[in-house]
Amino acid sequence: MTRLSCWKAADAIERRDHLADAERLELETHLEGCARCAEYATLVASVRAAAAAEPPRQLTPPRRERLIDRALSGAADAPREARPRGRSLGWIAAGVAATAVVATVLLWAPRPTAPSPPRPARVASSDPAPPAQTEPAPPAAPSQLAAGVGARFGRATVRAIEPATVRWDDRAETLYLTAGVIDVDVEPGDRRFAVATERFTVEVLGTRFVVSATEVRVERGAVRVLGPDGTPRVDRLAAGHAWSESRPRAEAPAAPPRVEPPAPSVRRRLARARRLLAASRLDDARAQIDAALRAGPSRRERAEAETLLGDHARVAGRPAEAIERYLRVGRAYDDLAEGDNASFSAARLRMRHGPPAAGRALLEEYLARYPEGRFRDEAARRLRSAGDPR
Amino acid sequence: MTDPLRSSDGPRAQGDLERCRAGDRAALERVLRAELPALERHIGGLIGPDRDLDDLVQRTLVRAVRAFPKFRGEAPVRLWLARIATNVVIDHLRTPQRRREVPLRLVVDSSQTPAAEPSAERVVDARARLRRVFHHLDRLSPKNRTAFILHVIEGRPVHEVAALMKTSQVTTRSRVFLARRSLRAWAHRDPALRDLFEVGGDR
Repeated sequence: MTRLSCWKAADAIERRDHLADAERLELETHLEGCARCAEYATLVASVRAAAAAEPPRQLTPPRRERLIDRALSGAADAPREARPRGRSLGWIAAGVAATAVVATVLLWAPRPTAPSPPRPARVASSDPAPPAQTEPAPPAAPSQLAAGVGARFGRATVRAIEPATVRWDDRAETLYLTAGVIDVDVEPGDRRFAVATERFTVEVLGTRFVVSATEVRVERGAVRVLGPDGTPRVDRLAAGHAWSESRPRAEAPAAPPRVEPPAPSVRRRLARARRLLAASRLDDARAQIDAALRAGPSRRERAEAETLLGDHARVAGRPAEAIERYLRVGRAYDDLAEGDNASFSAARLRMRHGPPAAGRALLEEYLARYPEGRFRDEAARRLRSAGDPR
Repeated sequence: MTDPLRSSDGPRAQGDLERCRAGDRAALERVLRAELPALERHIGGLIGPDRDLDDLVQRTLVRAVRAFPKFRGEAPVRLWLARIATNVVIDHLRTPQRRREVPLRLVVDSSQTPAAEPSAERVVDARARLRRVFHHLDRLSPKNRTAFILHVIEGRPVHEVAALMKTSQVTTRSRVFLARRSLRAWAHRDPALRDLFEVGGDR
């Protein structure tokens, strides 16, 4: 048997599915003794598994028909590129980081109210919801706005305070600001609107206010209050202010009312927990996971939360507990990707921390339970490395 | 001459190729409609999980319609369209603006990445890992990136990648080698991918 060079080993790793048995054996021998190539083999296997697990990118049938029609009608690329709502990849530029990127945003987006109280004063309702689009327009090419120039994107009028470069993605309902300063005036409506810069995203929240028979108090956004004949009583009642019919004019309360933000969703809590674990903030991460479990998660969310408990134990240096938690998830949710991930995590952790025989047993359990699992190749490779002739 | 309009989707109506070459709209619609799902998958695989598909599919179709009169049918239509799509993607990636852009979520992710500590462990799911790898692939030249994706991630043999990219096998191997060398170095230094490299601890 010839000794395989690292160059040939890398080539063999990339052709893994097409190797003859003798070549596989050569590769195996090389990987046992070369950590660098073994690392590369792990990377390739993992990326292939992840790519295979990705749902296929597919357009909708109506979209396909439209593209075919356009191609056959000889619609050229050039006109589409010129239109502001032509194309965008939904990405923001990183190469213009040197340019000052500041966005000033004025948000005034009153929402339709619940049925208004049967009193003379009424709160102006928003405009009717925009007509539903059957299919969002394709995202746009970047637009340059000179200072003072305005343009319309989605339900917002955008004016450049300083020369600005923006790109509108109708599908994401997001305006990407890559340079300059803009003033954004968002109309009422039900659709999302956001402005994204390199460092943050500003999302329109809409308006939140409390109305009684005699009073309206705005907690977020702003509203207009009209008399029964439609004449304005208060042109603009902003967040933190209240108006009462018994009072002749709007008064600001001594202290702004405390606005309780809506409770974060289960998904958001789990995402936070993940970030906190990555930063080794274990107590905070645990609090988020527990809150997510109390918030009535779906079955998949519960599987994810229980997996995160395993991750928590692992990061906290309690591998035995982590393995036990992963195994529970793997067995209870073996129809979900979370179960697949957790089972393999248990096996991998046991290989590191437990007796080798126990690690092999978990790898075998993984392969038996998930014969088409995402990590089947890696599990089989680890078993071979551990001395199993599989 | 036998009808050379071969496709892995099965037999086509006799003479469809001639009609497509002649610009018969109905025949072109039939062929494109049948091939679009495979084309979408091919382009989707090349551009990665975060890029928009529509425009690249559109451009591919426009080029294909224009090129059909010269298509002799020696190759399967699917492969011929895949070659057009591969060139569309490479041309697209060459655009300076595209190459400067990174998705916002990846910028946010990198700021969340903790400082590298030997004992720190991160929870990275497979999809985030794939995105991270594509983030590194985006730093490569478009041709090296494309060759790597087709050969290493999609597992296509070198001769097929060479045919898709209209180049020699030697050049293809060279592109894969250069891409591999860079990707290994970047991935090894990336804390977000570190949990992949636990092989050393297992041995």
